[in-house]
Amino acid sequence: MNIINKVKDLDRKLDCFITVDEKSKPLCEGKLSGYTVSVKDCFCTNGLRTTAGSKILENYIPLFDATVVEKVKNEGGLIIGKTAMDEFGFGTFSANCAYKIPKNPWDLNRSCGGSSGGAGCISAVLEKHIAVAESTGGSISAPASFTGTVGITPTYGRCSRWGLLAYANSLDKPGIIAGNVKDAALGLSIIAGYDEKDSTSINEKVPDYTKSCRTNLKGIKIGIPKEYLSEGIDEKVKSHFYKAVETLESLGAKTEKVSLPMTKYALSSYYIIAVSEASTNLAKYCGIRYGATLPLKGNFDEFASKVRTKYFGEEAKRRIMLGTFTRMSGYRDAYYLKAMKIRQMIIDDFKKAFKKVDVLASPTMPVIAPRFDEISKLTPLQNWAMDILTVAPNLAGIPMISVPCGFADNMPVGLHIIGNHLDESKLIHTAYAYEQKANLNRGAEI
Amino acid sequence: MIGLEIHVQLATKSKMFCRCPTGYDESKPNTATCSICLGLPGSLPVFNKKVLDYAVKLSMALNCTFPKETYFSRKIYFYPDMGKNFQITQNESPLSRNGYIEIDLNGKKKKIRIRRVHMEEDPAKLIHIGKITDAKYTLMDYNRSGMPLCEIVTEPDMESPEEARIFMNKLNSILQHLGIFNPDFCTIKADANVSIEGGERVEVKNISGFKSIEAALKYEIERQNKEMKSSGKIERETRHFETETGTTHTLRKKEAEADYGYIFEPDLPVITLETDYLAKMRDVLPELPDARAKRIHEQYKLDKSVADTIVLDKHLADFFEECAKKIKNYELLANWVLGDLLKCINYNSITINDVSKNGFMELMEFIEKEKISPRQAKEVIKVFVEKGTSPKEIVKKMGGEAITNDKEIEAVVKKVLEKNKKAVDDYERGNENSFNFLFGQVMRETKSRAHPDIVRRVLKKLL
Amino acid sequence: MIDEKTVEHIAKASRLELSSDEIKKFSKQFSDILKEFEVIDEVDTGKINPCFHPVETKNVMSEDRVTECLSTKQALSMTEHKENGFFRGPKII
Repeated sequence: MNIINKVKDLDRKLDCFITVDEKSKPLCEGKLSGYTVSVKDCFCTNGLRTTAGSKILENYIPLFDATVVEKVKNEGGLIIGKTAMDEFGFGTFSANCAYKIPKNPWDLNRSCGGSSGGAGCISAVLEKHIAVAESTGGSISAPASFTGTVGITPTYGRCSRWGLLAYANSLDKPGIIAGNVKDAALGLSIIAGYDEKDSTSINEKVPDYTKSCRTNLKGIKIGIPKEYLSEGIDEKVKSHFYKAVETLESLGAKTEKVSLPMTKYALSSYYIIAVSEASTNLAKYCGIRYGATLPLKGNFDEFASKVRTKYFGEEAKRRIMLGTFTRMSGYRDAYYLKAMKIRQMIIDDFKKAFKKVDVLASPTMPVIAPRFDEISKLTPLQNWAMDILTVAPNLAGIPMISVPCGFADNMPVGLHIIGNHLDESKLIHTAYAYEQKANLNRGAEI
Repeated sequence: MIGLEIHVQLATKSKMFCRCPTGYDESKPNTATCSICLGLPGSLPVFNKKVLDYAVKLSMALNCTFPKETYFSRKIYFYPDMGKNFQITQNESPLSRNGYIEIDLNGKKKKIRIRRVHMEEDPAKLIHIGKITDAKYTLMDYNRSGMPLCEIVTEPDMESPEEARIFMNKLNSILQHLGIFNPDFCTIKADANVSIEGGERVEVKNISGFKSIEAALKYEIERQNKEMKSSGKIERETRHFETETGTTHTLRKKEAEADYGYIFEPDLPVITLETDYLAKMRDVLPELPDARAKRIHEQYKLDKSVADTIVLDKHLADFFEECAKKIKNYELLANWVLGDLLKCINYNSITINDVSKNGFMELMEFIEKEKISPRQAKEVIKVFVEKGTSPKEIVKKMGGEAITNDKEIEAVVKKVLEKNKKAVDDYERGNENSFNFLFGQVMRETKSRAHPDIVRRVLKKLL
Repeated sequence: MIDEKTVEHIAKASRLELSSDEIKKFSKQFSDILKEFEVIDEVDTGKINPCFHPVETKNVMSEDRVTECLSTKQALSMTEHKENGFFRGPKII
């Protein structure tokens, strides 16, 4: 069966693509020759529909490629399509996608996680596949954990955001999901790098991350933040995590307890900053120059309100309104500015820890992938609380990787390894050594 | 009291956050746009370094102080002229603060304080089919979107429309001297805050160009005075100035401060204003109007007020100084430049740059050496400015150089006296007007070529 | 607490229309969320500066050069609201 037909077949069962590119051809020979690549639907693809999971961009055909897409094309990657996601990245289960809700290949009644759910899903079932994904508050780690795949969220600014449909600009980080650490490292080596089109991208040389795939962990110090193993974490998840720590120690790593006292403020600070920025990014969608629209009627305010009300989903509306509130004069200092200050304190927390240890380790998600019927019963706040372990490193813009560390109730559990700014190599080293020893990566049968 | 917020478009080659050209064709909508200035999803702004250089120079010329760091903010408002529905501007951290411009009020110096200078992007141009209030729909041209602007905010230090005009003229001269404003493709716009004794502050928006400011303020103050007389109060409001009619109209009544929900612009890094950079900018700062006026006053021994007037127009001052290399009677030169030359330029609606320096110097040499009479010179300069013909040619056509020879003039005077016996009689009976009449006849007879002083002397002698 | 009036206000400021049921629902949800956000009140941020970017880049700027623009056709290619090279939008007032 040719690859596109195979992808279409998988998509029929799993709903992981918003758009499959049937005409795709590799542009050239390169490091990605022989690989298929999927792109989360929040990245612009020249001439290929890009929706960010939202109805407001239902027929949007970008005029340019995102930088990470261009880099993939230049290395001979075959882009098979655009993966499903929560609308503009607003979610942890991909259940807020306006098109399809990807199903977890390990149990079709369960979520793939989000917001890069489609990316996690396809990486779990397709070999030699690299999924270009994006994380704002945990959108790479969550699906990697839930689908038994490897997800790398690099340092903020390591990969260019040019062509990324913004959720929260100071938090958005392009990254990779793949079936194993080596493929993820390869993917990151290709999409990382300075870009003059993104003024916040970091002007530092990109190492070949695949060279960090080494198996000995002698000399590596791993910190275990005690705040990340509090009562909210599922006991089964915890026990797999402790087993993983033993494995890491058996490879020569030293582990020690560390404390990140600002942890309890991370969730609120994260959501305040994220919605404040998101509400400004989504202001541009008003039905005039591009995107979904209506016949011109009424004045501009009435027209824009009609278009936005019709095409934005509920979670988008919730975050737009909350973000409008948190930056409104009178509240701005207490919410937006205060959260920005706490963000600095959270970074300082991590910096202090990294003076003592090389990397930090914790469970990636507090639970295994929930069932859709469970998700539908969650309040927005309970929903947001699922990000409890991922928001702090995302706020700090430090890199993190999730690798499978076992199965609870036949569902994958993720080990989260977190590093200092630009320490992606250390994460890949640690994760690779663990992966080789634990030997838990296996594709889902479908 | 009057305070101004002035928006100056800066004369960079490319726009503020993208590399689309600033010098686009006004008649061709949406020909100078890209994904950034259209605000397309996925695009990111990249700040134009030249905009910073220009804004820093302007701040220095306005005697402002700089913070260590400055950054951009998003000002969120829904309006079709903003592709992103927010404007990248500066809010709590403007580029510079606390400066001043010194203006001259009939010889008295007054400092108009500058509260802040900040950088921001210009919105797109909207065309309302019909009036803004009853248009059926709006057309949008994004060529202007993203043009670099400097906003200058003054304290409410101006006490009359005349002061505001003098302030704007001084600002214009500073912009010209800095070379950061090009009237060929840059515009300048102002919003004015106007309040009279006992009334609330009224904001007048949409005052375009240097010249409208005085008219708009005059109208508004008169309106407020009338309003105060009839109702005893002025309400807080925002008004719109209509250039065509020279009047202001209510736009929004008594509105609370609009809530723009500012956030830091997360797509742009902080700008640090390093000492080295500022020193470098200060080094390349050109001579500014105040210093230049002082130098011109000293170097050419001109009245201070004359020097001040000359530097109000950089090009005029350049013209003067260029001519002064050859024409050494500086006072005479200044009189002609500021007098008849300016008058003729304004009459013909051209600029000083359209006038040939060599031609003008030729004319000035004629005047300086009294080869033509002042009257003749006034005629010559009119033709010279209008047609661009060389003064030599014009003088020749007009019958030649001035007649400074007593004998030649005596001959003409005699002829005139012969012809006008009655006037001579009247003069002898004590009618002074007759003298003027006879003088005029002599001038006409010589096509103004005769030197008036000699004509007067000869007339008196022969009468 | 975010009362229904505040929800109406922020919906309007966000250019969104809400039904009365939605206003009730969001009022409840926002109140719960803000209660959760209250946790940050206990942090003494003292002299801490707000963090704009987790990894600071500074003074990143472009030279003042002109590059190619989109053609008018391309600029207008994504919308049906156009006329003679202009975008067309609803009236302002």
